Amino acid sequence: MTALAAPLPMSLPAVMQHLRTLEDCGVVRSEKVGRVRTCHLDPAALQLTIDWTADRKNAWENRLDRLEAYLQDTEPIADREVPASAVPASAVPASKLPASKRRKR
Amino acid sequence: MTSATRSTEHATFAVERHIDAEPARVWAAWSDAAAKRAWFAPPNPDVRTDYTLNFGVDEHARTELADGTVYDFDAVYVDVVDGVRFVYTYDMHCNGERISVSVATVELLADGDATTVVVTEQGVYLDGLDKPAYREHGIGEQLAALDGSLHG
Repeated sequence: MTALAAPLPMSLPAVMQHLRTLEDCGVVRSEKVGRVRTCHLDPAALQLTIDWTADRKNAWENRLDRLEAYLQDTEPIADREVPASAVPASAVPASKLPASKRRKR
Repeated sequence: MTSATRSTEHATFAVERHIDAEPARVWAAWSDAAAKRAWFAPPNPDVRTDYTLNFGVDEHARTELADGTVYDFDAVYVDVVDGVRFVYTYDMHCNGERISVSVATVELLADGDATTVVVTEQGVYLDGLDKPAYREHGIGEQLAALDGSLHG
C-alpha cells in the first residue's frame, strides 16, 4: 500500500479509499499477510468492461455502415450532377431536397 | 432470472464517421421515423423487431431473438438542436431485467457537402456483466448478424 501510494499526489488514506472502490468492483484483489497488504490487478474484471464497450461500439459501427448505405441508396437524383430543374418535382420528396440551402452558398 | 450479485460498471466511448452526404439528409435519416427504421431497425427474418420513433420525444425497440431472448431499448429525447445535435437517455432490458442506463449524444458536423457524425455514449452497465446469456447474445453480435444478412 505504502509503495503504491508513494508516487501518487494524494494521501495514503485517499489511495486506500480508491483501492477499496476498485476492489469492490472486482478490478483489484488484495490480501494481507502480517502488516503488509498486497494488491493484484484482475484483468478479467477489466476485460468485461472492455468487452461491453466494444460490443456497443461495434453495434454503432454496424449501424453507421447501414446509415451510409441507406443514404447512398436514397441519394436524390439532384445530387447526381443532374440540374435540379431537369428533375420533376414529384420525383424528389421536398424534405429530401434542400436545394434552396445549397443555392444560398 | 434474478441477479445473484449487484454491480455497476461505468464506461464512455465515442464513434465517429465521415459520411458523404450533406447534413440535412443525414439529419433526416435520424429524425424521420421511416428513414431511421430502414437502417436502425431493418427487417430481419431471424429477429422480430417492434420499432417506434417519435423524434424529439421518445423511441422504443423491442427485439426478440429466435431463442426467445427479448431486448427492450427505451429512449427519451432530452435535447434537440435542429440539424446540429440531439441527446437522449435510454435504458436496455434483457428479458425484463435492466442491464444498462446511458446518455447518448449524436452530433452532426458539416464538412462541405459531407457530414461527420459523432456518437458519444456514457453508460452504467448493471449487474449483468457476468451473465453468459448476455455475452452470447450481445447486441454487437446481433447487429453484426443483421448487417451480414443485409450485405450478403
